[in-house]
Amino acid sequence: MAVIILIIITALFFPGIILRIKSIASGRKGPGVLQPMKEIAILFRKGSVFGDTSGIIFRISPAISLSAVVCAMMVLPFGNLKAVISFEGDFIFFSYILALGKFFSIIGALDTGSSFEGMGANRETFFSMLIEPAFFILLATFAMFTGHTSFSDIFAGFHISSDHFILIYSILAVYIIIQIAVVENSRVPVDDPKTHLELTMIHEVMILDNSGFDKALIHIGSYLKFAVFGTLLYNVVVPAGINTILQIALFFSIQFVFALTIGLVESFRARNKMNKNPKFILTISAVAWIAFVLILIMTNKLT
Amino acid sequence: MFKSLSAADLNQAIVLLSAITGLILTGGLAVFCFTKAFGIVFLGQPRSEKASFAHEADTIMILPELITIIFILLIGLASPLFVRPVIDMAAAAFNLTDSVPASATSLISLSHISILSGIFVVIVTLLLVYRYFHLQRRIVTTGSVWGCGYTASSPKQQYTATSYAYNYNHLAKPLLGTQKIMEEMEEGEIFPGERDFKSFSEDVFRTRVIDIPVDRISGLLKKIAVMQTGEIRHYILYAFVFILLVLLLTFFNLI
Amino acid sequence: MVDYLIILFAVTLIYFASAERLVNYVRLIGIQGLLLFGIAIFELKEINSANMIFIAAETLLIKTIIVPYLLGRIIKRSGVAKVHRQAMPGFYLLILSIFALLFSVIIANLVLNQYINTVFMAIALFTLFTGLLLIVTHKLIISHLIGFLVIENAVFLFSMAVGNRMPMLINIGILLDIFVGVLILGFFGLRLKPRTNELTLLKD
Repeated sequence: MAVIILIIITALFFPGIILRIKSIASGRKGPGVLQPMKEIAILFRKGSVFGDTSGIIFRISPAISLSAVVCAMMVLPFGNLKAVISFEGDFIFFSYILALGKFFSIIGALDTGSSFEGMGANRETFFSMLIEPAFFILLATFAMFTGHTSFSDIFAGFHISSDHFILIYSILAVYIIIQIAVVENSRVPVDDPKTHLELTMIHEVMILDNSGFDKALIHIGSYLKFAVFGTLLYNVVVPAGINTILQIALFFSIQFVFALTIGLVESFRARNKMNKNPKFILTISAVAWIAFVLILIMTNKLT
Repeated sequence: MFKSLSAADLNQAIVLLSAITGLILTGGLAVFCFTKAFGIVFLGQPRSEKASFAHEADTIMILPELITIIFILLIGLASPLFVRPVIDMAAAAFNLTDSVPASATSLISLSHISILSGIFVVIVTLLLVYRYFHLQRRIVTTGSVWGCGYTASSPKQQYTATSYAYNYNHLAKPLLGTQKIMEEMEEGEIFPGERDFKSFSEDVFRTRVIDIPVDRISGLLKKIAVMQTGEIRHYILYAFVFILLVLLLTFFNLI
Repeated sequence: MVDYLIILFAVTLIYFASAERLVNYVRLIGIQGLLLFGIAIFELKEINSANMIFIAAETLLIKTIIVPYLLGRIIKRSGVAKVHRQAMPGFYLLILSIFALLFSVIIANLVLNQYINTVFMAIALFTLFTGLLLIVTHKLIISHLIGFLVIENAVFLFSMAVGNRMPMLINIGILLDIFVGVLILGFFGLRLKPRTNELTLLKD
């Protein structure tokens, strides 16, 4: 239960920190840290406009994608505490419930009958197909190293051995998880959330037609997804079994550093050319295979 | 498969991980395929004259389908209810009494998944109910879809199946062999005239792996087929030649 | 410590397969030279200090500083910036790279021998395959030169795999190859007219 409260608190501040970092890096002062929450409150007050070609799928897809993220939150552990529900193979459930939310947002976009949303749906499906192997190879290496197949067991057993390889494995795992989070949340360098040119958008153009309450649900879902990946980062970096106050402090500082990284990358890097994106995403899977070879060395299978 | 990774040796681990990658790519392709099929057929504006008259059949006709769908959803959401009796029956029928405890861990996972799916359905229902009451107190209107300022939008601007799959086709071109037949536009042609466009994808394995050897063999057989003339006197000649050959070979002790 | 450097070396090979601009190739060659310097320092237990200084000079000075500088000058003078005209061939090169990694791990495991360090062997084979793939899948002559330099790094790692001494002969051989490749291409190759329908192209 504690992990859910912590994720919600993080999601309240996460997008505001990214916005603030981007503003400070461009020399401005920027909006307040709670500005995205105020925008969600405005969206709750507004009415909705629906396209005249959209049907029932368009109306239910934001709710489904938000509940998918909420259900994915329930299998994440936090330090010593197990997840709300944990079972063997729960990382497969985690990935596929997020894929279910993405599936519904894609067909909700196809439901509007506009060519832009079709383009965004096409690109989003393609890129999420290419990033899935990276996540699973990384988790397979975790499973191979610790011998467990549940998030809670993997991260409880991760830092116990005194192997000096763990440092570089953690660095590789953090790098891969940050790249996966960038692709899943559609940030720079895969997709620019601030672009106004529809032909260059991937995720933004899928939610172009949503308004009011639906748009608020979609934004809440994306902020929670950020916090979920930050929790994964925390679980990889911090060993289980230390003082609880220290754990909570480290959790928030790791989320802050994650938001800082994303803000800085967005300020200083341009979005990839669209036909370079598949290669960029496949590079992440290739680095995951290197992590696999590293684990083979660590578990003495390659010597 | 994931559990056996830690106990596998090097070659087995590589094979297992490659199998896992293949399964994941299959899952991603399945999402691609279903969004394309469902989206092109059912969603958006009707893409042709005939499609605009399409409508669902009467409820009494789709009732059997609805019952099947309810069962499919039940098996997905409440799987232990169905899996446990099936395992017991299979163990009793084939005398596999020692595999029933081994499947207990997977049954526990399945029951947890069912609990989580139940939570998922509850949250979706709560959100949709709240949304219904929320929108009743607000102004809800309909308008045309954003076409980047282009106001004469038509169904022909929607994505077709080929354009939806274009990204993936471009990547998998060696395997798919997609070809286009189109008259190319010349350099001085500023306003292109009317053209036909046809694209198709041929079966690469059939043309390269099966057709080429089959063509060679059938070419060889055609040369032999010269002997099939359709006249009885030629066939009697063949029989006579055969008997003569056998006689000669026996005479010289070769057979 | 050596194993960190080996893994970082493998990651640079993956980035070789996915780099777009020639400048990135040159930077990666420089980083590989630096990593090889680190590996040489930590792994070789030479008593002959002249040999150690020679190896350190070779990796640090030549591979990290001089070769990237010369390659940068060649690139600037010839005016070529991109490796491929399209981005799609890079995708297939990445997939082939992953297969090369798995293949080299399997082969290194098959050659189990008490005299061979398997980790070095696997990464050396991976480097060799990456260098070969770079040569085979690119058209420009400068990319062939980069692939050749990567194969030289593979030879270095192979000699590390077999023992922790490094005879002078291997060092001199590597230096000669680098000399032939970079200097002769740099000073004579630029005299080639672009588009001369030779077997290799200077510009695309």
